[in-house]
Amino acid sequence: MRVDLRLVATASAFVVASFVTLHPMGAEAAPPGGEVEVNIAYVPAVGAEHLVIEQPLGRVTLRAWDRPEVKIVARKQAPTSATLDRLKVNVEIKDGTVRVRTGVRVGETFRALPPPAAARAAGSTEVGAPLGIDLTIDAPRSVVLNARTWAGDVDASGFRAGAELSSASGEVRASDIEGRVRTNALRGRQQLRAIRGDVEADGVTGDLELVEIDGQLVVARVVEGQITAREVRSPTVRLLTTAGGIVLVGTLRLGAKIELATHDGDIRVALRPSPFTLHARALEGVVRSAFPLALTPTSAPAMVAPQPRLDGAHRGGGATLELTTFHGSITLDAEPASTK
Amino acid sequence: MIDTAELSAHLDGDLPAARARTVAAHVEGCAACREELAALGAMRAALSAAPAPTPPPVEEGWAALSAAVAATSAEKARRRARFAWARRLFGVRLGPMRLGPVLAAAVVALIVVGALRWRRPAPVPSDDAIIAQAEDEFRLAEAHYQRALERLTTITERSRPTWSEQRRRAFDAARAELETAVESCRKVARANPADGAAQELLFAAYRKQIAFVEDALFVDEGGAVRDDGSAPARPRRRAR
Repeated sequence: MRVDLRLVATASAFVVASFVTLHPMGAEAAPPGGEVEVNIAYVPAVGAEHLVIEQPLGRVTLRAWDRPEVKIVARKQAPTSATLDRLKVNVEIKDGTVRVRTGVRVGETFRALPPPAAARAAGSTEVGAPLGIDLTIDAPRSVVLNARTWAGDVDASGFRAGAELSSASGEVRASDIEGRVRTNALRGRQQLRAIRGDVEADGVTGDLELVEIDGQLVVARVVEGQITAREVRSPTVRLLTTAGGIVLVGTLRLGAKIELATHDGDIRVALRPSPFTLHARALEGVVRSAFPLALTPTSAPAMVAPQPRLDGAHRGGGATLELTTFHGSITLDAEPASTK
Repeated sequence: MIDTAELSAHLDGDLPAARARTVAAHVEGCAACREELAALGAMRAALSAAPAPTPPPVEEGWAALSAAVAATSAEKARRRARFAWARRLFGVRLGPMRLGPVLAAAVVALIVVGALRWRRPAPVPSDDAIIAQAEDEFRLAEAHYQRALERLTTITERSRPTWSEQRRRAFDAARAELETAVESCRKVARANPADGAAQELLFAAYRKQIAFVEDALFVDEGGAVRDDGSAPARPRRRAR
């Protein structure tokens, strides 16, 4: 294993101010049959407004700090030292944007190409050892973040000017972020927590979890996966999934408009006592409400039996709940104390 | 607010004259719809006229970093030269933290560890193999988008008979437009199968198409659709 400490000193060019070989730590031992190299770089970021990460080769962890520089720790691993030497990290600073890219040297060019799935698997017998680069980056909390991974998770926390995060086959996690957050995952779970800004989350396959969201607008959609929303206090919330359930837990904001829709799945809503107006339809299922409702004429007259459609107001209305499932049921309950 | 499908139909001039006037009047007074309409127009233009992305250039930064590493190597060479007298005199290499006994012990340790961990070396992938593997990854991702889209389309087709004629027309027009955009992106991606930027363009087009079909599905079957073609008020969907 090799551990290099490189100090990058200028904004326009890279200068190796120090190159120190450190002793490998026990936890950083190279995998059997593989090579590991850790590089550390400090990039001055005074006045930097954007941080762009293009990371096809592994995961990226982004943490905000209060220093005017970006610290990049790149942990490379490959089955052989020759392959390891082909894995590159490229840093560019231009027009207020710090751009970090990982890639592979192909001939004389730098190419941002994903590794094959088999090579990413630890201990794969075909390649002997995993292949890729994992990045850990500390950056000024005021930068607008844009990070994209292919093979690994993307994890960002502490930033104050919004973030756009996406991954093809990893998970996406964002926490403690101010400003608009947009996420996207092709095959992976998404978790957004403590976001003080609008949220737009988009996924194809993978569950999506939203916790403590305080922006004006939350739009989340997945094709296959469950959506869970806890303490989403936005006035406009729209959650859509085609195959999967939707769970909403928390308090409804007065005047909020909450739209939950799924094609194949149940909708479960657990609320702390608050007024709301309900429009619920379960085309091939039933709607059950534990809250007494003043029914509108579109609802069946009796509340005793569950029914496929329920329209009414609880305690005079307030937030509007539009709940739709085609193949599933809808349940509204009082939130149990344990989930608060 | 007017839904995307109808805005798209309006953009194409496919709406009946009376409805087109209504939509135009609404758009004039609705910032969100104006923005959505502009985004639709821009996306169509951008996607259909998408130029073939050029491969990422070899970054200046990398060249500078390589030069810096070379400079470090030169410094090492100078240090070696500085202690050359010691090597000649004692037959060992001296320098900061490098003493003969330590070196000897390290060599022995390396031999032992190397013997214990010896394995048949893994092959170094060729340039062609690296590119081929990346292309496989991109193809797998595209297949995943296509499967999701096919599933959504199947579901949407099942509910289509319940739609109004106007909604069907608006949906078909917008869908055709999006398919054209996706096809343009697909051509670019096929021409550059190992170019991440070209593939990302294609994936963005698939995401747009998926969001559109999802919206159509839920607006229609959700029961909130109005047969005059308008949709219930809903959050503005941004172009992706």
